[in-house]
Amino acid sequence: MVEQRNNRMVELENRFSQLEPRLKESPEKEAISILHALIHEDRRTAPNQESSSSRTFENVANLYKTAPAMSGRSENSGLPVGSPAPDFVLPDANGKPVALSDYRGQQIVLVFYPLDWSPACSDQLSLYQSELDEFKKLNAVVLGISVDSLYSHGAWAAVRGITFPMLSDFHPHGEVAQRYQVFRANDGFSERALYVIDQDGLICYQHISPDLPKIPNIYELFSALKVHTTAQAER
Amino acid sequence: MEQSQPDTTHHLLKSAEPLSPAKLVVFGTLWCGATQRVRRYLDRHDLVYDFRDVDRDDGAANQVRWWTGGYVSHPTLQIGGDILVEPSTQKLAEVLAKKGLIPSDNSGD
Repeated sequence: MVEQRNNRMVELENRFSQLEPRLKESPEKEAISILHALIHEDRRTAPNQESSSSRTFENVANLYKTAPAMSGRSENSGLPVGSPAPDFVLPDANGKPVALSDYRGQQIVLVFYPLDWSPACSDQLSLYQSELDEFKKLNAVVLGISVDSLYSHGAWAAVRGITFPMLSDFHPHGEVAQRYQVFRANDGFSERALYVIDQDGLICYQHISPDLPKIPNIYELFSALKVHTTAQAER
Repeated sequence: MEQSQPDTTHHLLKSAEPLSPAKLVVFGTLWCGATQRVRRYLDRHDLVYDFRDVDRDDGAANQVRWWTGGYVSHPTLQIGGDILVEPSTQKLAEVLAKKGLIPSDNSGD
């Protein structure tokens, strides 16, 4: 019965999809499209059957979906490829000091992002969390850095299930972001910027998002890591 | 149902090529985190899909607008005939499993 219903839904969706190019732009077309969207929104947001504590946790985890979006063009161009990566020591979410030099011998993906809990940052960090096996295959570690406090990092990492180090550039405020030339002075937080640092401590790739909400293309990041993994293997 | 529709519509629908049950299309952008998450999920499961960039492909953007009441929501997936608008990984896994494209015990990771 359920399968029959699913098949029927698929058939109806197919027919609906095929109609789009055949209808002229009109208020009627718009109304039909909105009705279709309403049905989808209703299905997508239907409450699940989990316990109330799970729902509360899920609601907190999903706050980013309705949080105000960030906007703004990039204001910094960052350190150039080939530069030595400035060393630093920052506390992680547990208050443990973490130095860049602790990771010498591996490729480091240094992820500067504007703020915990914000919409694009939540998507970006979750994306990297789901790719930890891939980063490991490429002999790379991921370090997240923002100006948030270590307590914010701890809560946000717990809610999002982030296990890689989250470093707090809280005091002096944004000092490490400034040394990497990605601090947005008027906003008080960093650009959305990636640096890949090779085994010798040199910057071998950098990307600064031209618009704050835009998340770097992960396929491009993997390509950069592969190039340098191969180059290191051939040395 | 179909018999109650006007003949012309019926004819047009019959002449269209339906999407095969296993055909996957991802409508999204290169910079959207959720689109990248979905694409990488499909990559990890060795599922072949067409990617249509709604920033560069007006036809793709119009198709998404049609499904979503005028918004270019991304990612939007077409899986066979099913449409998924901004699905969670869990929802995507459910639909893929239902269609036999991934094992049904997949956790959605």
